[in-house]
Amino acid sequence: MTINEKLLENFFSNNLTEAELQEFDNQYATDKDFKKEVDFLKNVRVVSETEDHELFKNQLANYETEISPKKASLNAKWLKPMAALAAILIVALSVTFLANKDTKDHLFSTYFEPSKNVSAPIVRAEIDGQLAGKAFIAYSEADYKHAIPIFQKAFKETENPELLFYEGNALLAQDNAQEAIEVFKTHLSYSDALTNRTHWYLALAYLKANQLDEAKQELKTFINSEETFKKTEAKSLLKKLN
Amino acid sequence: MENHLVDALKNNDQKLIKELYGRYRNEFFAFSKKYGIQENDRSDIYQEAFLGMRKHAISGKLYDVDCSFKTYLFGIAKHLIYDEHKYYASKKPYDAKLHNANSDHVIEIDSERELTQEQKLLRHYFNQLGKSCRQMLTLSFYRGLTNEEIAKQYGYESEAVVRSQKSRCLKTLKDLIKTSPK
Repeated sequence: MTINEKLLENFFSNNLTEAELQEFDNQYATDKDFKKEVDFLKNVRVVSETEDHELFKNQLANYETEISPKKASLNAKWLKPMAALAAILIVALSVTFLANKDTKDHLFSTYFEPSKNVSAPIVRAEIDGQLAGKAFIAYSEADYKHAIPIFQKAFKETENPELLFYEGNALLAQDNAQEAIEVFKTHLSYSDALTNRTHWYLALAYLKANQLDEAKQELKTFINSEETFKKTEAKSLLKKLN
Repeated sequence: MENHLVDALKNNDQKLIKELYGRYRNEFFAFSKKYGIQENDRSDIYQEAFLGMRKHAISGKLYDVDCSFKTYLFGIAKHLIYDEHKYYASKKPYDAKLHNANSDHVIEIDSERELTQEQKLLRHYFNQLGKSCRQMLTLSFYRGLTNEEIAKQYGYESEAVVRSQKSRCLKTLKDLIKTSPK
């Protein structure tokens, strides 16, 4: 039996008429395929809601990052006149430092988002065993803390270098730039489908770690590679760093 | 409530949301400080309150509410502070007045449901879809927009285009699930 799409659309947009509601309930109770489709779409609703909330939370976290450093400079107003000159000097120096740091942090958070899983993970999980599958699931749920040790273990077992790419991403998402740098460098000693992309993420890790020369170098390597992914972003970031 | 602010939350008007976030932030931080919330937790609670506002805006609840955006926001925040205190109850007694059943605008918010194993897997595949498919499915199933509304608000040529793209996205999602080994 063909599924009545209009009925589904009205159900999910809360627009069912009394008669349609009856028809919906009736079909749900008697038609297995219809029930299966509705249950599937209800799960899509839950999942898209979860993802949508995550995106909104990240958006708010970015606002907070942009706003919070301003607080520090406002305090200068309240310093006593005797200390004013010294304070101004200190504030001026710190503001330059903070602004500089803030710009870099801001650039990092603007450009960094952990790589999507592009390695057909479940298929690979079959080949590589259960561990990689578990790591990818934790990773896709943004549970980076748990994903990292599982990726490490899975890599030891399977020596599949692509796992390093994701481990590095997870470390970077956890703000652990130094370890991410080491892992990305190890990944670069192999050659696989993700090698070129690693230059982009390594550049961001260097940016996060405030090693700007290295970041620029990685960006140049990335831009000169055949990779098209994030190329425009890489060019614009390099321009901002120069 | 101010309808244009509810619309801003619902349609993710980033400029206005950012402005609102900044507008009440300092007052909220002072407010939560009064209730003993640690500095590190203040922004988390504030953001959670904003998220709660948005959920209520999307569900359509807010249009009929007869208090201001700010009152409602702080109402949600009070509830969150109460939860925070409950969590740390052994460490610090909370202010009973904060969650007085008679006080105005203490607003209940739904706690996050944990995803079932099936939903977790579905999420995994959902994230492998392209951005436009993820948006299409979110608008249709979470935001509850009709095909017609999606077409108008997001610049699709017609309702039919939306319908066929949605159906393509669902097919891709189902194929991803089907081709994965069990």
